[in-house]
Amino acid sequence: MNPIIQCTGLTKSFGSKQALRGLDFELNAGAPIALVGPNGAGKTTLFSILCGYLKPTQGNVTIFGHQPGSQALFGKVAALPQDAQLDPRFSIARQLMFYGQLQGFDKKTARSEAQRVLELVELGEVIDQKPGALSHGMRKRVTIAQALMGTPDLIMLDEPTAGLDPKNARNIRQMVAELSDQATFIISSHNLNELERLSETVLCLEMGEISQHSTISSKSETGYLTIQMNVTDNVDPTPAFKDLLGVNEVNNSQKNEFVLQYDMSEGLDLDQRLLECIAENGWNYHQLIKGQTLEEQLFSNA
Amino acid sequence: MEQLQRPGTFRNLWIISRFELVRLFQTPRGLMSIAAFAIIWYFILRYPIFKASQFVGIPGFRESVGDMFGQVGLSNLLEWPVAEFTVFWIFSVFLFPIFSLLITSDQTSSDRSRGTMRFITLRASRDSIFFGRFIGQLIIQALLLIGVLTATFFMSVWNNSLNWAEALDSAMIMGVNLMIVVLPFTAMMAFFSASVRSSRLAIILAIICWGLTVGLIGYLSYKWPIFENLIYIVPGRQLGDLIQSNDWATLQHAWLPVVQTVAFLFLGRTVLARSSL
Repeated sequence: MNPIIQCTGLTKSFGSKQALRGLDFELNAGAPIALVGPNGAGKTTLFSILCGYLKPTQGNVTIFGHQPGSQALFGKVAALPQDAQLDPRFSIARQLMFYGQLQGFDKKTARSEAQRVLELVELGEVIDQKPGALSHGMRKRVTIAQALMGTPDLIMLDEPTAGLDPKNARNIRQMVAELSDQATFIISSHNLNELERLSETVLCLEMGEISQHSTISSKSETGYLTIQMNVTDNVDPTPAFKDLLGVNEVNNSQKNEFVLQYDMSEGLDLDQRLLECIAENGWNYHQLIKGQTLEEQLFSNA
Repeated sequence: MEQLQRPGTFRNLWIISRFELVRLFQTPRGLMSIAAFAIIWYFILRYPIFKASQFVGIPGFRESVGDMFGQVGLSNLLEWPVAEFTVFWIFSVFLFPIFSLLITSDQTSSDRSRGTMRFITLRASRDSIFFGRFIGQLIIQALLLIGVLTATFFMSVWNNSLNWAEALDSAMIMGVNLMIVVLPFTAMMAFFSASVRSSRLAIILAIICWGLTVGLIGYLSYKWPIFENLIYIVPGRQLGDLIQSNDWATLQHAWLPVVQTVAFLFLGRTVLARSSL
């Protein structure tokens, strides 16, 4: 499979500060890719370079074999850049039609395409309004809509659900999930629960370097169960969990949350035995997750 | 959903140019610019131009023009066959560059500041955007120019219907010349607009740089006359010579604004191509 993005020795400096330090990675087309990392890790800088807004100080990056920002990528690569706003002087229809025409649509088709993408973000009724008449969250959804125009192969969304209410954030996640067989999404977010539901590949940036590049559902001989308990007294279930057949280790990752690391060959029915153990001891549990949370995967060794 | 045409540099350049007209005619800011332009020209047309035939011949007018442009300038100005266009020429040669500076100041600055440019650069090259906006601004100025030329033409025909052929000829010569006059000013604002993130700052910077350059060249050429020729880099340098010419001979001064335009466009294009969005 040809990688859609190839980065070699990618470095970006702002004065004496290095925002990206020699990144080397390749990303393939397919399920959504998560870009995570703490504030200042370089996520937005990487996004900006991939979109052609910034030029790298050193190194090379190609998208579908072309330099970012090159004409061959117009209409093929779409993005929701962080903090970018539509022009408040024009109606949303006028601006989306303008973008559509730049992508090769005629005026009439551009209008229907604008209507289509606005309906994807459940804002079909605001097409003739100006951005100033919309709330912050609605404006954000309109800017997500512009990224869906045409048939892009790669859609990069920088913090797509930041500032959205839970219902609309959920709608955006659903929309990404539904469209992910038509385009490859790269999503930058601090919401690890969100990324966990959407992504298979995670690119973790820290201090301008890649700290992890992994696949969430990687096949391994070691399995994980994460259980969140409703513990109201001072009972510690760790010894009981450790006694279960196949369990190698139990980590109390957060308050009332335990991660059981087990041998896959012996722990095929571990989830059932774990629930039996909880019932026998008269404990209650809140949630059982097969595998580790993304947060746990990324930061358990931090 | 049917994508009918493959996006290309020139197609996108034309789409961006046309969108500039929308900016002018369908936004409050654009309409206010037109209103200001119309009000100023209403008074110029209503009084000095409409009554041109009466006062072009009076001694006070001749003295004023003679003081400003010299006796050669005066005689050349008076050679324009239609009085209304003589007065139009005096006003427009100096007013159009100022209009140009003011109305073309926001070619790329506010879009970069707001981040809107990021949406556009995913669909069009920076060259298409830069040159598309520049051409769009020229189209706008051409429309405004055609408007005032038409008004002046009808005014002159109203005053003397026998003049229509000469008036039409003058309108064409002046129209072509005035478009050449605004070229370097529009290109200069394209450059400043690409360099800063607000149209107001672009105007201020343009005025300061223009003033400082003229002052510096004046000082240098006073000290070392060899620097005298540097004055050719200043947009509008040819205006004094232009007003002292008439007929199609006016085009002999066109080379300077054209060269200045190419230089400013090169600089502006380079700045935008290298800037972070």
